Amino acid sequence: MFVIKILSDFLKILRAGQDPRQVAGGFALGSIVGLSPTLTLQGLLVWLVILMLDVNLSAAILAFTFFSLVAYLFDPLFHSLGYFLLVDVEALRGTWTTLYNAPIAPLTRFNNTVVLGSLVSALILFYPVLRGIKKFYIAYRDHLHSKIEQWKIYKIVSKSVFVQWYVKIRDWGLVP
Amino acid sequence: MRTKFVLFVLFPALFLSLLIYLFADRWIESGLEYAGEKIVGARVEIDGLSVTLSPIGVEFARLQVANPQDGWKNIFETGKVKFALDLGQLLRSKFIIETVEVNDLVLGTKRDTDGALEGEKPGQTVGQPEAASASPDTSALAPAAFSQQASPVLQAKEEKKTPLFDIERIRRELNIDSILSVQNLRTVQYYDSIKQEVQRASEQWETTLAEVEKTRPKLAEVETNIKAVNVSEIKNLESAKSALENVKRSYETAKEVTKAFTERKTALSDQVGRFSNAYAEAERLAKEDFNAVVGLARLPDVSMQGLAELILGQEMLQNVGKYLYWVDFARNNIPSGLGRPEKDESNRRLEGQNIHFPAERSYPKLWIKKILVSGGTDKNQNPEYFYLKGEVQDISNNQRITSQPLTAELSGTKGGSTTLAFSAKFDRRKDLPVDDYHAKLTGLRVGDMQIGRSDFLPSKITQAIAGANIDVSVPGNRFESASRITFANMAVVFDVSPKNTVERLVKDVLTSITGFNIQLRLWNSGGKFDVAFATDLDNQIASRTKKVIGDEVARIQNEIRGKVNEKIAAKRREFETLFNQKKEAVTSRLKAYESQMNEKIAMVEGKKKEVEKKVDEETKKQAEGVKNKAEEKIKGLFKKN
Repeated sequence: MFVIKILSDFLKILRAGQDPRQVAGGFALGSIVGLSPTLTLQGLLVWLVILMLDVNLSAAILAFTFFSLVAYLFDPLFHSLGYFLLVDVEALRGTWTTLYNAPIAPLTRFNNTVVLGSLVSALILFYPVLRGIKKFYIAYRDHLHSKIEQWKIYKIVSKSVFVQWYVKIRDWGLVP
Repeated sequence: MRTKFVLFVLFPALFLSLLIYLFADRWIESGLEYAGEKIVGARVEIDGLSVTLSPIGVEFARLQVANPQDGWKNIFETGKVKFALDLGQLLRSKFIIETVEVNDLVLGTKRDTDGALEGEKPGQTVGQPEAASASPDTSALAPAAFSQQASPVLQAKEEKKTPLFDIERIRRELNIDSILSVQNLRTVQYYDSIKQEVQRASEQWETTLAEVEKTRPKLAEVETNIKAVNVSEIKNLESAKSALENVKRSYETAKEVTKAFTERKTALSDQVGRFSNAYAEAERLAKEDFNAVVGLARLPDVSMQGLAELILGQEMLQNVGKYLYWVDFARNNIPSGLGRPEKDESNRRLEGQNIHFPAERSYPKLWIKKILVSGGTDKNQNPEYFYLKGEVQDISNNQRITSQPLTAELSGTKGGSTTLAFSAKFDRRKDLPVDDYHAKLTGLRVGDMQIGRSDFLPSKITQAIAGANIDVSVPGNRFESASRITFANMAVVFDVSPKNTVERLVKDVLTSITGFNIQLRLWNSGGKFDVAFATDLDNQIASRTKKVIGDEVARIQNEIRGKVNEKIAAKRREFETLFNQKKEAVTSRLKAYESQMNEKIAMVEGKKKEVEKKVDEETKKQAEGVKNKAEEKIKGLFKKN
């Protein structure tokens, strides 16, 4: 069911006929919170940005779900990257110490290896994801959409209960 | 910007904030209880916690901390507790508290429910704080807890065998001959073994003496050479010089023989002398043999030293085990400073590893600057418990930042007559952690204290006033503790009637005295724990016991000593006979050879002097002749002119 929901969301996003920048922006912002291991201050801020800006919320939720799953696999990598940045890079030690002693900053849990490693990875990936999704979306809309609509799986997913709920919510005007 | 979404977020956010506000008390209470339980290893209960927003702080009506060693008692419980957090530092994720007010701090209260945690063994030291585990301090933590180090020593003391005190029974059952087996006497075995050694050594001495004898022909040759030189037959300088050379060669030969003899004589004397020293070792072993035989006879030490330890030790040593648990607890749970964090490879998914950095603004993660404790009003106090007042200062997770050690100065009373003063300092500012404690207890009413042992005068002190002075110092992995405990106005009840004379005497002593002192010292050196127990009760018991059974024990001891000495003396005679015989043989042969050798040397030296004198005479004579001839020649020359 969960997989169908994600697939359904994905197809709906692609079908919705929105501005490619909205979809790509939502997806890229969702990837930042998706890669973060726990709820942190910066995660809350990104969610706030997602909600405040006119980006595609479904794309953000989809990216959050997708990257949360992917992040599990890359946790050891994030841990190593975070450890490297926090301990091995002498040049950054002063910055970390200042942040460690600054108000609010410790609430971001930046001194946790996985939190920092995943945040840095997400920020590095932000622009490639943004560009990639935008290009993919345009390509899909112009060339692939009409073909995929003929797929059997597409028809099953589009008639699922989740999709019906989504349509209702969208009609209330809360979802673009 | 989508305005509908702002509303969609704003209302839930407000609702969420309200929810958090309503439930924060319960969540914080649970969080504090959980954290406390992780440290203490027993149930921690907080009642009526409420969070205040201005100033941001917490207060609660009651705190109970269960004793991990006895779940049905609290270590302490408090009345109202109140503290405020520094908001500025809270935003930096630091918990800085200026003052915690603690009302009605009571020690050792009874609990309605069991305070033990499931899966937690009683007495197990738990709770390594995050800072300590994240930043290992190599010098701070000992390889083994003091309670574990001391455990075998305390156990050995507790299991110490009770000596047999019934003199009548000893006299009746003691068969000295049966315990005087030769196998039990090390001195006898020692004499046997050195006898064999003397036998083996004497063979070697023979070989050495034979080597000495081999030089006899050389001495004979020297004698012949010397005798062949006849000074009266020397007529000129040349033959005198030749004779002197001959004598000198003989002299050198004689000296070589003397040197070789001296070396061998010294070696032989050393070997013989080594056996003479064996008497001292035999004396030492004889003393040990005597003590061992007395031990086998299970005779009481006439001095009765250690009897009081037998009576009082068990209870005292059990208490030692309890207080070592708390020393370990403090050592393990008060964290040291920061070090370079090692990479944790075993971290679980999504958890990561927290890296800590120096706190430049002199604030550690946690710092409770002062805890003000009040013992409550006298009229509300329960006379069963201690009510404490005083101050605890500078509880922090990093003393290197605060530059302050954790200190505690507490005093308390119980029932109006018992007082307790406790001070402690836990210093983690340097590499070597140092913990110091001092506790003074006066006027403690002892109601029911078990003394004696199941096999020796089981009894209990039913009434006494006790006092104690305890000093403990724990620098790094070393431990030093000195305690002085006094009992006064004492009354003792005996569970059973005395079984023998000594028990009867001890009972008489304990009945007649009103108090005694105990000194208990515990220390470790080189990883080995030791306990010393001393009491003036020993002297009181000893003087009484000596009068009654001392003579009888001394008589039995003398009898044992006599028989032990008899057995040893027989063996000693055997050894002495053999040794003296061999020694005499060696000595007489050496003496004989030495006198002969000295005689030859004297002869050579005498001859040498004679020949040297002759050489001088001949030299002068020759010089005179040359001079006369020269004068005649000169005179002839003048006459011609």
